Amino acid sequence: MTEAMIEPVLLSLRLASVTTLVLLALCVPLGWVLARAKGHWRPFAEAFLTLPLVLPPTVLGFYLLVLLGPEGPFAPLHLVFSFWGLVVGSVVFSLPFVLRPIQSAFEAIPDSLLHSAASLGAGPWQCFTELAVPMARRGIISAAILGFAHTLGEFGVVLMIGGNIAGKTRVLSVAIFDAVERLDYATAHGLSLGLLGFSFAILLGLSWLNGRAARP
Amino acid sequence: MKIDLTATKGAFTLKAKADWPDSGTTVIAGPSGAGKSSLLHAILGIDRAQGAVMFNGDALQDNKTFVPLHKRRMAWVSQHDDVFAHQSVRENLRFAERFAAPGGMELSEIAERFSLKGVLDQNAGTLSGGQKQRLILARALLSNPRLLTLDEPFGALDAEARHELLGLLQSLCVEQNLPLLFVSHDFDTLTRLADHMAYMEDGQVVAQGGLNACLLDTALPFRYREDACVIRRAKATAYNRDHGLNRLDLGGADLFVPGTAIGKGMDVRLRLRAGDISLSRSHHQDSSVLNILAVEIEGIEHANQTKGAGLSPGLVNVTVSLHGATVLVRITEKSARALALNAGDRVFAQIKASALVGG
Amino acid sequence: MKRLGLIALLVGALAIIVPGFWGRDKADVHIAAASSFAPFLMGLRDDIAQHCQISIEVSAGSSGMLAAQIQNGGPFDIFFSADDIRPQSLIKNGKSKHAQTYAFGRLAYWDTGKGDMDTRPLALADPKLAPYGQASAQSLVHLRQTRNVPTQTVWGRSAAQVFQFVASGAAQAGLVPLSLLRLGVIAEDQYTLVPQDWYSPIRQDVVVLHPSAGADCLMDMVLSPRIQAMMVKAGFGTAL
Repeated sequence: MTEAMIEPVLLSLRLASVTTLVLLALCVPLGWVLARAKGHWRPFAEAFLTLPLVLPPTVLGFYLLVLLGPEGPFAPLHLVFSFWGLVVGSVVFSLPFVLRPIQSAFEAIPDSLLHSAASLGAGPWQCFTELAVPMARRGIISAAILGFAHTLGEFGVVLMIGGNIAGKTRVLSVAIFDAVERLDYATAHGLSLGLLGFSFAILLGLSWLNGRAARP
Repeated sequence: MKIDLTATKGAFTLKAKADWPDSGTTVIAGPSGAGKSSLLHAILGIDRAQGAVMFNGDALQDNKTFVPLHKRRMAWVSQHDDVFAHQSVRENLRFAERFAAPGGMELSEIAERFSLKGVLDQNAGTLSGGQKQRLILARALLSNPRLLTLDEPFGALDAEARHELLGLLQSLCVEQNLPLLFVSHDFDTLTRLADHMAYMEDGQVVAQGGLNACLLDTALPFRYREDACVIRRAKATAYNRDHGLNRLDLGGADLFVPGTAIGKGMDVRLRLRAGDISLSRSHHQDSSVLNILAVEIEGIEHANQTKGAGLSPGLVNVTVSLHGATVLVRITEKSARALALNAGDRVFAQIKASALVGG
Repeated sequence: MKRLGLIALLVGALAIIVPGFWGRDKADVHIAAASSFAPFLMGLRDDIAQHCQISIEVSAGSSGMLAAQIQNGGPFDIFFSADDIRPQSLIKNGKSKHAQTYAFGRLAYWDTGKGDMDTRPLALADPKLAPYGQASAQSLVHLRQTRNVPTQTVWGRSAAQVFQFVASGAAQAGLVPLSLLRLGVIAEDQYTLVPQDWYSPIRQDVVVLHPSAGADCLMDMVLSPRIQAMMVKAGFGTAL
């Protein structure tokens, strides 16, 4: 493996890890609020947060590019063509995949159980951290797995707002596409095999962790 | 507790106004669909209703304040298995203990009373149905609430396990001087526990008062039940080991009740079933019935005088005064005529009583 | 044990994440190049380093996407497009002073047909998307008059995709840039060059976005007879 091959691998792992962490920090509270919300705004919020699934990745990427670009409202953040721009794009793109399982896991917790806990004197924060999150841990871990895998394989958004810059935004999927485009099949096969093998190992590890978490 | 609550949920409207003592045990009774659980949820603040809730002189809810559930100190035992299945039994109990106001029971004491000592380190999700119910109740008591509320308590358990747990609950509430509010449509459960009753129909409290007043109320269905009864308090005065008989003092009258020994001086609840009492003009010396007491007839209600789901034809409800306490007697129309019973008559009542230990 | 696993996972995650905070920029001149030209440029990396004393970084992509990125702040110094339209629009938007033609695209007809029984389609670049598309469409008219060409057509989003359609065997034949056939080392007897008067010239322009001494040197070098000769070998038409 040459440096040109290792670099995209490390970058992809970095991106997937950061994205997954950001998504968890975002979706665990958000999923909780949505799962417990009774207001009429809930269907609107759910529909809105599912929208990233609808747009083709490159189209979503284009709008992100315009939004984050020098003429867009988020220009001062200097996010385009940077690693953190990729994080923003991946977070937006993978949000429904992470939010949904977490929300479902929270919805599976009976109301009566949480009210029982509250009637013992436990405030909303204790109910959330000590009951809801541990009880939903399987859903949260599944969501993390999905988010991680989805980000590793993500291509369209990342290509559009990343700009295929070596060491900064040339993640694995882009590097593979790049190699295929220039008919460098040896590199493409090597990277693809690496992506598959590594993803398999990660997913296997997380499943193992999930299985352990499921045990009482 | 003083309540005045209104709420609308779909086609159902809750409009409950009531006032019952802050202490003792109160049951919210009524047919299914009457809104008993909805009222309990509104009282607890689980579902937010319009109006006011006053308890022990504190406004838990009025047009200015709304105390959230976790600050009301009203422990709730729902109809579901609400154990924290990801924690051990000990962790479940600790959770409640953490939020308890000082002065409550100790964890080890509660675990002992609820026979949970042996399973403290077991995962709560692996307990049996009965153990789960005990854990939930133990947890609720451990939180040292100002009021313990239960929704159809232990409905999932078989009769024997339920009776045992109700007895334990009752003795603990008396020991801890803990007021109880529960919802039940189960006649056996409510006669075992309640001191006061709020009776609901169509989302409204249509009757309320002392338990016996409600059990005898001609507007309520209880006195027309086949197993109609009144509940009287009595004090154990002696126990005859040879005969296995307890002697109880019921307002000056001696009553003999078979069974295991009840501690001398202990207060017991006596269930006097209308169908277990018969009347006679003379004091039979040759009867198998142990308790023959002089009573005065207060009133006679014939089947044709009752409306709706009242008495079956051929039956008569006779209310008699036993040393000043009203007791319901169920006899046949034929017997009532043969004995020519009239209000004010002094007759003899043959009574088979069963003692409900506790309270 | 459970806690240990989680800690291990966290430490692992941090080890991967932390280096990301120092994104590095080791190249002197950052080049955006159309996918069809990028491999040639990458082959010149050492040559350029020696000749101009600069290191280059090449980001490949479709000309359209690269232009959109440059329009939105893409951090590139030079843009080698596969057409002359995108550079013109960038100039109009003030991203560059002037464009220069560095090469012409050459089209070849690649046929892997196995006789009359072959029912596989002909692959073409989409005229709306790929710079080679319009030329392909023009050439096809002449091609049909002189040859037995598959009647069914499939459209590729880019020249590279057309190449892959044929290379994979999914398409019987295709109109492909000669540069890709050379890059893929396809045997000469499998394709024929399309006469240049069959299609309007595929003018490939370059624009300098951020002028520098290194960029000037690179531009001079690319337009030098030596490199232009290398480009002809690689399958491009010379701009000289």
